[in-house]
Amino acid sequence: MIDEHEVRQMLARRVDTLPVTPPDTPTAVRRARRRLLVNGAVTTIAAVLIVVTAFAGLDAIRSSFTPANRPTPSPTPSATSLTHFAGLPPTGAMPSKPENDGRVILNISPAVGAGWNGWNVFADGRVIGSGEFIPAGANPLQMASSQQWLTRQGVRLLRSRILAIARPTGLFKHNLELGWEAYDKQGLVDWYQVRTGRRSIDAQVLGPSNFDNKPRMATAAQMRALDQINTLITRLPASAWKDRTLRPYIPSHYCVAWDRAAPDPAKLPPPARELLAAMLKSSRNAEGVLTVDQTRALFTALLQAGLKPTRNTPSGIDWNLPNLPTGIFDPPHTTVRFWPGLPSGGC
Amino acid sequence: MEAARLYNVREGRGTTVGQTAGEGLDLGLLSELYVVHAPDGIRLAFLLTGDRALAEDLVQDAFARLVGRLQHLRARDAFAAYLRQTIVNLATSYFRHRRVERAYLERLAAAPSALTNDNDDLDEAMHHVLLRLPPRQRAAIVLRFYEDLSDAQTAEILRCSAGNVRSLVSRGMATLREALEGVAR
Repeated sequence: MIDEHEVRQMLARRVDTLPVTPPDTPTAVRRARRRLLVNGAVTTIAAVLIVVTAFAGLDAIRSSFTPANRPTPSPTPSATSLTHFAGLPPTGAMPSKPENDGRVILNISPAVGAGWNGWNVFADGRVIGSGEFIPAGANPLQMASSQQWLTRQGVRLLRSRILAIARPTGLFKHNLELGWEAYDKQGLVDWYQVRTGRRSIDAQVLGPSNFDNKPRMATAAQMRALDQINTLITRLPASAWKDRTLRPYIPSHYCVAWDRAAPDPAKLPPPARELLAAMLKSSRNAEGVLTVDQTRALFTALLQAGLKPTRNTPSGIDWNLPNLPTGIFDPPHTTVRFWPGLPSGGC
Repeated sequence: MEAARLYNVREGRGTTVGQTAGEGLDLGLLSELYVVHAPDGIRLAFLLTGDRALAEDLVQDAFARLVGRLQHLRARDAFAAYLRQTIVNLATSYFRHRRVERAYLERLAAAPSALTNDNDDLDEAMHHVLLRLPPRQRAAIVLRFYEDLSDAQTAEILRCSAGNVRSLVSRGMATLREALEGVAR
């Protein structure tokens, strides 16, 4: 017996069968332009007729034309107030509200390049995205992560569509760690997380260099399902959105991590020495969290010390800082990465 | 400023759209507006017509019409909503006014000969039956279950009452059930 739920799933899947080809924009614009010209011509002729008629003495006919209100362009942050670091808010910038959205309902972090390139959906409908979610023309100093808002119904719709795509392939029934040979060279990791009720179910796809033990390998159907899920949010109906405008997400904190021996503050001049020492003191297991002000102060001090970031992108800012090598083959520096934290308090 | 204009175009906000129509033909911005809104429109039109090429044609037509009367729209911020309504109207009139629906439906009536429990086959069969529904029933089901609009929002687009929408959906679902009776996942 066909029910409403099955019809919803069918419609979502049928739409997913559409080939992803760019729309024929030139033709559409040509047609729109032609119609505008025709409308303009019609308006002109009508205006001439009205004037002629008016001059002929028919006072009863009056133009009811009312000029449209001219809208005010939306304000943009001043370029002069920006920092030199991708996404790092300038002094005095207020973090995006609310600063804590509670639970992450969906976390979609596909393995695309280095750094975080995915999107998170929070319980209150906020969507925080990175990578593909940043408009092509956006200044990376202004927007490292974007935020939009789904309606609560939109969140439910998105989750149900994800499950409709994934569950027939065996994903999101329970936690899964799968291998995928195609990730061999970079050892990439896809990480997907869907919260249903009190449970949060993970699906991770690892490249062979990340295998601890030989994991179960992902099937082609599972990888196709995950590919569909990566961009599913862009195919939600307009009614699922409360505010689709891509606005910069301003973090309240930064996350930091390093890969080898901890950096050595003694090898830096003040004030970088003190700031780095404070960061190390509050960190554990080569990971830590800094406020935006602490991050900005440390970056400024590192610049004053003559250092420059080796990577300055929306998904992370890297510094090579001097360390105490633990082995003779270790390089004399450690790469320390900083990236914007999420409103769940996480990284 | 360029980024702000782009964000506005992404949202179909009246600011840029109005300026485009009123201050001359800024083809770049018209293109951006189309690129932002066309994919959603094509998906809706595809579900209503079952034909990708026809869907794009309908969306182009709807876009051209909408841009042509942009200055007269009451709420220019709601470009996406107007576009959706225009697409539904055009899809309905396509089947009605061109008097091809009968021939079209006959072509579609050749449902898959051997239905299996496979998702793809059942989806295809269900979509075929959906396309054989009267245009307003079909539009009501797609707007309610794909666009996820409320009864009231659907009623606004179909220019009828919310009760009428419920009736259209109910009758459409009954036809779907009847046509697909015995086919289970």
